Formats: sequence, structure tokens, C-alpha cells
Amino acid sequence: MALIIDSLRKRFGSIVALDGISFRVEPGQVFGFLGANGAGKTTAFRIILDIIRADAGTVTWKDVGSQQLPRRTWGYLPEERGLYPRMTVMDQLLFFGQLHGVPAAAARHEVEEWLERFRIPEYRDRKVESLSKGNQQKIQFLAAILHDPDVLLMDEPFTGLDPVNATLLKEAFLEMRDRGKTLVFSTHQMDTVEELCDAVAIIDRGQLVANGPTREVRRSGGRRIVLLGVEGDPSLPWLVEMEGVQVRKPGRDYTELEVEASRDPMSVLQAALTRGERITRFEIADPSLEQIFVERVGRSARGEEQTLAEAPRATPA
Amino acid sequence: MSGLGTSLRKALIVARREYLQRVRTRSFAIMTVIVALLGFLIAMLPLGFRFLAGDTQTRIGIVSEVTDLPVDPITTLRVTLDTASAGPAGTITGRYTLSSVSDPAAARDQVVGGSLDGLLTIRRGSDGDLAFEYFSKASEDEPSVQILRQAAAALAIQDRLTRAGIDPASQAGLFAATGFLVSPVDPGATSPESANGVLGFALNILMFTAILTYGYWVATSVAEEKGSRVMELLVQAATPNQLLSGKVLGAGAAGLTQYAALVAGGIGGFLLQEPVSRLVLGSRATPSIADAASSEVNVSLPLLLSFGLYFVLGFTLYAGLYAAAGSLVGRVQDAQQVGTPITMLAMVGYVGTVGAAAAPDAPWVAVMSQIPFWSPSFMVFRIANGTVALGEVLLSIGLLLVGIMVVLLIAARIYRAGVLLYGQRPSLRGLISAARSG
Repeated sequence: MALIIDSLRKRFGSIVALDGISFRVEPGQVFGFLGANGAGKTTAFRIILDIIRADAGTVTWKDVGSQQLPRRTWGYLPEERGLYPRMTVMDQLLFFGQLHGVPAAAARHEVEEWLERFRIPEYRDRKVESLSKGNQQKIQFLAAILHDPDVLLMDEPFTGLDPVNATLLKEAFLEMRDRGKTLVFSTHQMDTVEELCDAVAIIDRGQLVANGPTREVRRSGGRRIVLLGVEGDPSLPWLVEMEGVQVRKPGRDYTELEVEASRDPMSVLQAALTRGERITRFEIADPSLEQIFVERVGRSARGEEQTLAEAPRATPA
Repeated sequence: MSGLGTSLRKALIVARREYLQRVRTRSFAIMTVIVALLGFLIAMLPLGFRFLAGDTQTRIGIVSEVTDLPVDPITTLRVTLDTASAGPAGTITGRYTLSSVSDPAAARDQVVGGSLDGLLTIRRGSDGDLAFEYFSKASEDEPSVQILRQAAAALAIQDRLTRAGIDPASQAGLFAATGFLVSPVDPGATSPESANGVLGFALNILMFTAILTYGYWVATSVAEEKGSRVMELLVQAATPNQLLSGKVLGAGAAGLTQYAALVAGGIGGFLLQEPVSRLVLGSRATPSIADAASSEVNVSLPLLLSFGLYFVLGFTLYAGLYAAAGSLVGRVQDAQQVGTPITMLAMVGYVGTVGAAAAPDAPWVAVMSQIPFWSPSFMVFRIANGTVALGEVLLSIGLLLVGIMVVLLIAARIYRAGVLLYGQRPSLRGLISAARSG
């Protein structure tokens, strides 16, 4: 009864975009789809939507193949802006709504409610091209949900959003989840994923490198993170001698350690006490998704986004 | 979801958006006003020619020193002048205004000053014959002087006949108009210079420019959607067939709206010809301008209806091609380039009618008249010239309808395939395979 992606393969000429990826999204979940640029996320979205066809593999939602599913099952928010720049917000959304078979009056009512919630009711008769990128993204979101789809597929919905707009969009996501919708979105922002997602999939070069409930994926490496703070000298030279413990981030306030799966994190605390350190902070945590991502993909997703942010199209509005 | 009603409803939603967005732009408003003015000016053209021709009319003062003329010299001269200066098919190449002059000296001054073109003095010579003196700035070999010389000769002959004892009443028979029929070598041939040939060309130019202009709208509109990724949302909400037919319908309706402005301007100009001509030409206006124009160009209702039909069908056919072309590119700037082959295709029909004018009965003309891409051009031309049988017209319309269906189906496939070829150069092979899997 879930959204099941099974062994998808897709080549574009000599480039393998998807090399047999499989994962499932349970109904009502918020699902994070992670990967560096060119990893194959957008290709996967387009195959799920039946915009393009896979060379092999299937997509089913509640046991129905994607090619048989009614189009209005899906709500799609493409990565780049997909709106008519010179149409007004209301005309535009009514157009998409009506094309999906939503009666004009109902669509109008829904749009006005959402504009209110997004704090932009005054933009209803403005042309989309005159809106900031963040506000355009809100309109794009409305275009995706107006026909009340079961599954929302959103490609990089948070790219280029300022914190205020990002928060508004996150709230809208949770609202959709509470309405029983299933949400799948891709992003570079790992903290957003940790905050919102019940489960994640990480793909790299067309292959799945991690998949499962967010907490399990974070623990999947077996390593734990220990934050250790002491009074006095923060350099903690004795840590170097400990087997299976690595200093990730030395700091004056506290030091971040990575503890191998074979070692009990509590042994670090014992060692510190043995050495007579006066402990101000001791915390055991899971590695962040960012760390898992770097470990599995070999480079940072965040670093990539910073590079992207230098490109003009990703300038925050 | 896929019922005919749903399809039609979705196509109409797409068409409505296309139409409104197009019509609301400022450039559309400006172009429509320009086009309406153009229509108005075209309708006013005959009047303009008339005005210019009227300005070149020859005003002649007549002084008769002869008292025993058998007839009124002014009446006689005018009859001859009008007959001699009448061009083919009732067109008038130049006109004369004759007036009797009582003060020759003052009239000479008027000729020098330019308010009279010439002063004709009639005397009787020593031999009893009439002698004429024409005082004018015009040189002897100018047509206006040549014609005046003929008219004077006719007057002199009438005078001689009277003196020979033939009374003026019976002379009328002598000067009656002669039957003179120009018999063509090939009676079936229609010369391209004939008024209806010109009409056929004019309608073809109208159709050709409309297909280029409004078909290009379809191409750019599709390219724009693909470029802005709106397409990814559209294909979620409607099928390529629905999107394509809606687009063609909407752009076509916008085009027809602008076209209606052209026609309205033209009709307005035609209706205003009489009042305007009275205003501009004053007393020189004759009530026959509109009559002359319509008698020269035989605009019949069947011709207009068939033009309208071929226009709509031809546009639909080409708009489908333009939509397919637009879906191959992702940028509006590239739409023109990829549309060029289609423009060429339309051009073949348009230019072909020039050849058809020279040989309207050639077998290749009959063949071209049945090929959907060119039948609108050829048929409009041939119907204007009256060289086509009803059966041929019906067959070509049938073939055109079939052609439209085939083109739209293929175009919808290319459209769907083209939409999906993101970031890839549109290679023929990729296109065919994409169209197949679509």
C-alpha cells in the first residue's frame, strides 16, 4: 500500500542516471530524498510522475503502476520555477486547478486561504514575475497541492528560501502531512531533513547508498558522537591514545568525538574521570545526516549547495 | 478521465488561457490597431490613386472664334476626349475639364500661372477648314495633347461633313462607337494581370502572412512553456493532444481576432470611401468609385467562404507543425530557427501559385491543389480565377481534413517527445524513438 520504487534503471546515452534504485515510502510519511547534484533525484521524480519512462523497473502507488495511475494522484513541485511569468497568481493557480478538474470557485477559495496563511494575500493579482523567489516558491507549492493530490513530490523546495519563508513552507509541509498526504522531497539541507523526515533515501551516481527511517540511517554506521566539555585545558591530549576514538572538532567549550561501534561511548567518560578532568558536558548523540552523507557519498551535500549559491539563479530572494 | 468531454474541456481551458494571455499583451493591442489601420488604408487605396489621377487632370479653356460651328464644340470635344482617354475595363486614365473662355488674354495668363493647363483656340482658316491653336506648357508628344489633337480632328471632320451637306443629325451614326473586340489566342487562359488573378494573389498573401505570424505564436508559446518548465506541470494535468489542440485553438482565435480587425478596418475604409472622396476630391468625385472597384474585382460570397474555410484549415495544419517545432527547443529565441523549414513549406504553396497563374490547367497545378500543405494556396487562387471544379474543391477539403488529423497526431507525439528531451539536442533519431515510446 506504499509508494514502491523498484529497481529503476535509466540511461541517457552513455550516462547512467539511475542504476537500479529501490525504496519505499509509507503513506502519510514525510520522506527525504538526498543526493548530490546529478545523483539522479530529478530523473527519479520524473519517472515516478511518468514524465519519462524508465529503461527498467517499476513505480507503484497502492499497488497501481504509475502509468495507470490518474494524473491527479501526484502533486509536483519542479526544481526550477515552472510557472507562467506573466500570469497573475490567481489566474495561474485557477488555470492549473481547472485543468486538474477543480471547480473554479473551490480553487479560488482554497488559494485565498493559502495566500492568507503564507502572509501574501496582497499578491493574488500580481504577475508571478514580479514576486521574489521565495514568494514564487510558495505559489509553486500551491500549484502542486491545489488539486488535492495523494502524494506530493517536491524537487529542492527549500533552495533559495530565506529562513522565514523556509519556516512557512515547513509548516505547510506538516499541515499536508496532517491532512494524510504523503510527502517526498529532495534537498541539500540535512538539518531540514532531520527536522521533518520520518525516513530518507540517499542516492549517489544513480545508486542507493542509504535508506530507512531517519534515526536508523543516522545510526547505520554504528558510530556514535560524543560531546565532551571540561574545565581548564580543552586540548585533552590523552584522547589521542584512546583506540576507536577520533577528535572531529576540537573546541574551547567542548570537543566533538567520533566513537567507533566497537567501543562503548561511556568508556570515554570513564577515561576522563580517571584522568581527573572536571566534566562540564557529556553527551552521546547519533551522527548527523550530514556526516552519514559525507561518509557514504564521499563529499558534503552542504558544500555543494554553497557552490550552487554562488550561481546567480540560486541567489536567495 | 479520458472521455471526449473531458478532453474537450481541458483543450478549451488551455485555449482560453492561450487566447487571453495573448490578447492582453500590449504588443497585441498595438499590432491590432496597426493592422486595422492597414486594412483601412488598403481599402482607401483606389481613392488615393483617384486623388492622384484627379490631380493630373487637364483643364482646358476653349475660345471659339468661329460662329457657324454645326455643333457645340465643348460637347463634341468632351465626348471624343472621354472615349479616347477611357482605359480598359472602364478605368479612366486621365480626365479633361473643358470650359468656355470669354477673355482669351486672361485665359493665357491663367495658363502661364498654372490654373489652366491649356487654351484651345478654334479659328476658321483661309481654306474654310477649322484650324486649332493650343497654348500650353505641355509638349506636343504628351498623351494629353495627342488625345486633344484627335478630338480636334473629329470636330474638324464634323465641320467638313456639315459643309459638304450632311446634316448634323445623321452624322451621329458616323461617330457612334465602333464595335472592337479583343479576341485572345487561348480563350481559357487567364492572364495574371487580370483583376481576379490579383485578387487570388492578395488572398494568398493574406493567408501566408497570417500562417507565418500566428503559427509562430504557437511555436514560441510552446517553447516558452518548455523553457520555463511549466510543461512539467502541464503534462501532469492534460495529455499532449489536449495541450496541443488547445494551443492551436487559442493562438488561432487570437490570430483571427487580429484578422477581424484588419477586415473591419477594410470594410470601414470601403464604406467611408464615398464621404471621404467627396471631402478630398470635392466636385471631382464621381459616385462610381466603389462601383468601379467592385466591378473590377469580382468578390463573390462563395470565394469569401472558401477563403475562410481554407484559411482556417490551412492555419490548423501549419499551427500543428509549429507546435511540434516549438517543442523541440527550450528557448523562444530558437523557435524562429526551428520554424524555418515550415515557413519554407508554406512558401512553396505561395510561390507555386505564381507558376499556376501562367498555366492554370497544367496537371501539376491539379496535383498541388490536392496536397494538404499547399491546397489552401492553390485552391484560393484557382477559385478566385474560376478555374476549378466543385469536385476538386471537395476532394481537397477532404484530404486537408485527413492531413490535419495526421499532422496533429504526429505533432502531438513529437510534442510529447520534444518536451521530454530536456537538455538534449533534438536529433532525429532521439526524436523518432521518443515519439514511438510516447
